[in-house]
Formats: sequence, structure tokens, C-alpha cells
Amino acid sequence: MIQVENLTKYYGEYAAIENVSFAVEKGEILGFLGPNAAGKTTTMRILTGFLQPTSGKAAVAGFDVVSESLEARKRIGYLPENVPLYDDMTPRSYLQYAARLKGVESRQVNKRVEEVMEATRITDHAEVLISKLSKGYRQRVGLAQALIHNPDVLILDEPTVGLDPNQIVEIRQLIKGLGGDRTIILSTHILPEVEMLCGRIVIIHEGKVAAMDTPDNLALRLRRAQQIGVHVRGPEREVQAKLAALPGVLRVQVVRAGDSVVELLVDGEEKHDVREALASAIVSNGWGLRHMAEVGMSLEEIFRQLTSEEKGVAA
Amino acid sequence: MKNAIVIMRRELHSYFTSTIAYSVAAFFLLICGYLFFATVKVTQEATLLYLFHNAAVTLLLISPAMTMRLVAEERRSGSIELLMTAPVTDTQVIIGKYLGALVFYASMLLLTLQYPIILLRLGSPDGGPMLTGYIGLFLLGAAFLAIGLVASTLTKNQIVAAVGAFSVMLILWVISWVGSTGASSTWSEVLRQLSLLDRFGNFTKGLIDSRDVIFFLSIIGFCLFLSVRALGAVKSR
Repeated sequence: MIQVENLTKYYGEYAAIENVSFAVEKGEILGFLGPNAAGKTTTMRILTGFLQPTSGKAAVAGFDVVSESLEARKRIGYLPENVPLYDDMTPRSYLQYAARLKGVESRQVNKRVEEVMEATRITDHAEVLISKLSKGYRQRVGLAQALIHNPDVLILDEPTVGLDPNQIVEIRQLIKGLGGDRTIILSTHILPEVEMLCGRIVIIHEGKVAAMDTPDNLALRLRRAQQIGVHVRGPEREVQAKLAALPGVLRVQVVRAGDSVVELLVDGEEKHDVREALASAIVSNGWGLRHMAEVGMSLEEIFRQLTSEEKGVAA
Repeated sequence: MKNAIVIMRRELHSYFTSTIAYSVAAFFLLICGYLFFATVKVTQEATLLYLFHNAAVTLLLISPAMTMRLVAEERRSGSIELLMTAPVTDTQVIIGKYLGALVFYASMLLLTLQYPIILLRLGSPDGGPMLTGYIGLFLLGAAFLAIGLVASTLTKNQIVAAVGAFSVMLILWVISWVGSTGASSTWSEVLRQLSLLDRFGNFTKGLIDSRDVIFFLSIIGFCLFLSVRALGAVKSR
């Protein structure tokens, strides 16, 4: 549905994005993850025709976003980070305008406006001036605008930024409900959001694609070392020293030392499951094994690893 | 054209809900009303000649306020992102914005038609110059609005847009003064040809010269072309 090849955009000397390539299948929800100023907005603006790329190609629904821009734009619903509203209009008149602007047939305009207001739950505020709406409502009007011409592709730039927790949950549910046939690209710098909504993630950092995969695979791929949480009833120092001496164990950290039980975090070498060795060492020393479990790496850590400059400091 | 009409309608909505537009219109009509009364009272002549000239100067002062918002405000607030990612061309956007301003101006002008009506009822004025004067005033205003639109497309700041538009208009207004002081040279003749004041003057005398009409239409066409290019430049910045 969306193909992006070697997209590059320079602002003067500064490269906002460099050689960004990815593809999105029909019906997929792709998460665009990266810190601020990573190039997410620039990429989205190129896809929607708001900016021209310096070089590279991008196509939406088979239409090149530069040479066949109008055809591509007809198929895209776009919610910019800065919601493009007119304060002097009501949601209803604004959406009627957006519908006409995007080529919705005159006879269908009012019907579509009612439908999207229903879908985004703003019907009860249809006649309130937009300047009087709360941030959450403004965001929903923006989303309604993106949906008005029933586009195949939705591009949402930081749709939950600046909202309070309740509003965030609502908008997320709304977006989740929009999936299905639609192809969605969603940018965010909030990790739980992509984990919750997206089937695939593109991590972008300093204008380049740093990683691209499903959330699970990304976690798998990035697990450089095995990490195991162990609770042992026994003397803290001795337990730590004995376990650290085992083959395959890289490091043993004491997380919490209680009255008799020590909680430890054991780093094992890659492809070297040390759990059995740990268990038998503990038992043979006469200590009590209370708990042992593999600690999965959260996307948060992956993200930090991917986007921090110091790679490979895990050991 | 349909897309331009959609944009024009939104622009008109914006005009008729904004305090700036209403105060501009009120100011214009107040000045025109006062000047009509004053000139007719003093001269005792059934003519709109003086009113046309004074209205033109008033227009010079207030038309930047009518156009400064057009694109600059959309760029500032970010709503331009909706406009430029919708399936409409830059030309349609500019034409729509321009038509919006033009219709607002025309409706303002329409409200001044009471003065020729009063003259026709109470005296026996020469209808010809009144008609050509109105055509001239409309063309002059249309040119002002086009210049204002370019200025508004070039910046995010409404004040800068207004000041820029006003400067260009004022220069085009008084450009013939350079020529009129010295002996006639090629240069002063060229400058005189560019003067909005001189061109407009012909209309108030009851003269419709096709060169004057073409002059105003060229200014409008050229300014709209510049606006389209300036809007396009926002994309490739």
C-alpha cells in the first residue's frame, strides 16, 4: 500500500531524513517510533505531499507522491501533529468544508459528516465553536477530518500528544477500531502506544531507519544476553560470588537483600542457558531456591539501546 | 473551479465572522459616507468624482487589512497543512482565496451604491462617469487585493504581510510623481505608465481605455501567478 525508497530530505545543509526505506502492506498498522526531531514528521509530510523530498521515491496506493500527488492525496487521511483547525468554525461546518475540499460528493457530504462525528464521538459538540473545544475534542475533530473522505491510508502524526490519560485511552481505542481494511501509519515517541496498536514498528533515529520489525521480533533480536531474576534464601555475598563464578554467567547483581532472602539479577551469555546450572549450584550449596524467571526486555529498553549512541555496552 | 469555490466559501465564512473584516468595512463605509456628504455639501455638484478619489485613497489604507490574513494566518496556525494535503492544486487554493477577498470587497462596494442612487433621485448627474468610476474602483481594489495576497503568501506574520502590501501599493500609487517633476524622459514615461493613480484617474473621468483595463488585469494575473509560485515554494523549502 505504501512504498518508500531511499527517501532523503535536506533542509539546507541539514539532513532531516536520509535514505529512509520501508513498505507497508494493506491493512497493516505501522508504528513510527523515534525521539523528537528524528525525522518522523518530515517523512509523513513527504508522504502526504506537504513537503517535497530532496531525493528518493515514495508511493501511496501505487501513486507517486510527487508526480501523481493529487491522486495519492485523495487516498490519504492525514492528521498532522499540529491539528489543522479553523477556530472560527464549528466542528460540523469545518467537517463539511473538509469533505467538499477532499472531493466528497455534494449529496454525500452531510451523511459523511454525521458518520465521522459519530465514529469520533463529537456529535454532542457539533455546534460548539472550535476555539472553545478542549484539546481532546480538537484532536477528535482532527481525526474526523482525516476520515471524512473514507481514505485507504491514514497517516497520524503523534495523535495522542498533549492529551490527558483518559483522552489518550479513548483516542487509542478509536484508532484501534479504525484498523481492519485501512492501512495506518502512526508516529509516536510513546512506547506502550506502539506495543498496543501496531503490528510492526519502524524505529527512526537521526533521520535513519534504525530497526524495523514486529514488537516481539524486535525484542528477540535485541536480546543480546539472557537475563534471569533469582530469589535465593542464603548469605548474600557468598551466593553472589558462587553464582558469578559459574560458566556462562557474565554478571550477578543484587537487586534487594532481605533478612534471609536475596533477590538477584543474573546476566547470562547469549545462546547459553544458565538456568539449570544456577539451580543446581544453589541446591548443592544448601540454599533455598525461591524463584527463578527469565526477565524479558521491554520495548522501552530496546528503544533506548537502539537510539543511544553507546551500542554494545550490555556486558 | 469547484475546488476554488469551496475554498472561496470558507474564506467568505471567515470574513463574515471576523471582527477585522467588519471593522474594515465599517471604516470604509463611514469614510465614504462622510466624504459624500461633505463634498456634495461644499461643491453643490451632483458628481461622485471626489468621492471616487477619496475612496481610492481609503482603499489603499485598508485593503492590506483585508488580505493580510489570507495565507499568512493559515501558515501560522498550521491549518495550511489541511489545505495543501487535500487533493487540490496550489492554483485552486490561490484562486479560491482571491475570489473570497474579491467577493467581500464587492459586497462592501455594493453598499456604497446608495450614493449614486441618492444623486439620481435628487439631482441630474451624468451617469457615465459614475458607472466607469465604479468599474475603475472595482479594478483598482481587485489589483490591491492581488498585491495583498502575494504579500500574505510570503510570510507567516500578518503584520509583515500588511506592511509589505501597503508599501508596494503606495509605491505604485505615487510612482508617477518622479516623472511629473522633471522634463519628460523615457524613464518618467515608463514610471507614469505604472502608476495606479493615473490609471484610475482615467476611469473617474468617464473614460474606459482598454490599456487601463489590461493594465489592472495584468497586475492581478501577475500577482496571482507569484502567489501560486510562493505557495509552491512552501513545499520545497
